[in-house]
Amino acid sequence: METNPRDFLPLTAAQFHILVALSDGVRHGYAIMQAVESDSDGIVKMGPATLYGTLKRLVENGLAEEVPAPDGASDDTRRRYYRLTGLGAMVCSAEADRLAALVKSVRSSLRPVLGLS
Amino acid sequence: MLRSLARRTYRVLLMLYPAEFRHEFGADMLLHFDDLIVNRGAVVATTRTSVDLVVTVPRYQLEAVMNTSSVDRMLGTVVVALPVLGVSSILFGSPWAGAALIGAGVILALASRGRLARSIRTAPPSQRARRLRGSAVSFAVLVTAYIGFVVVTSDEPVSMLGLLVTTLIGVAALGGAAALLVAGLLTPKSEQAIP
Repeated sequence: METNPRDFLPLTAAQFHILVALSDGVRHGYAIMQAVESDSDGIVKMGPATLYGTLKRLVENGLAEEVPAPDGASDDTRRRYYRLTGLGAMVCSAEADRLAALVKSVRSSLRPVLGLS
Repeated sequence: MLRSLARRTYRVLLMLYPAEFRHEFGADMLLHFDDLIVNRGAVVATTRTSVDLVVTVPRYQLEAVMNTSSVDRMLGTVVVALPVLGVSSILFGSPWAGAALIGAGVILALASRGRLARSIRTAPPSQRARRLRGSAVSFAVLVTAYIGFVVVTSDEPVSMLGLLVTTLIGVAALGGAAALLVAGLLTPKSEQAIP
């Protein structure tokens, strides 16, 4: 039976940020952390245990997977690389849609409060 | 100097995480910490990982305790401990209390037999060696306790407390050795054997 991406929603902030970081391609742990910081304008600062604990959960749920180091990855051979799975991409997209709907709803609700027409 | 101290401290603090998590990600986390030190400096690396440690150590430890295998392990321990305490009670002249404890152990074992059998049969093969090793250690404790008891009592009469402690250790070691031996022998030898 096919897994429904909506069954994984809502994602935690850490899960969503990591999936977004992996949507750009294969990355190792530290690169994921850098991408998360960059994507969030430095607001989200993820510690190592939060990062690897969340990655572990994502891999267990089939949303991300460990892959061999990509060609041209010349740095430390001890690094482990991860990428988004097909299911992970669908879940990430579904979460983005959910958040977009939420943002739309909030904007609409706050418009009169903020005095906007 | 500061970097080296920070790295060594973090390495020691990693011991606070559950063993399974540490084995899987300990090296990655240390490498991550090294990257942080190189790119952001020891102060930022230490501050960020300190907050991370405070938040994640209790959470991951709690998750490790609450996961199925930990609960099963606790259940197995209680199932063995109840008859052990029961036999000890009988040996010390409390047959009714002993019988009640043994009965409780039997009832608990029967009620949870499916769960216990599943936890034994679906354990990873590495558990087999660990269980058999535990059985051997328990048996060694039993033999040591018995020899110690014989040596001590050959010179002077044993006190009631000494007798109580020795009996408890002996019965617990015997029960533990038997339970771990059975569990170890029933644990699959390879991944293919797991149903």
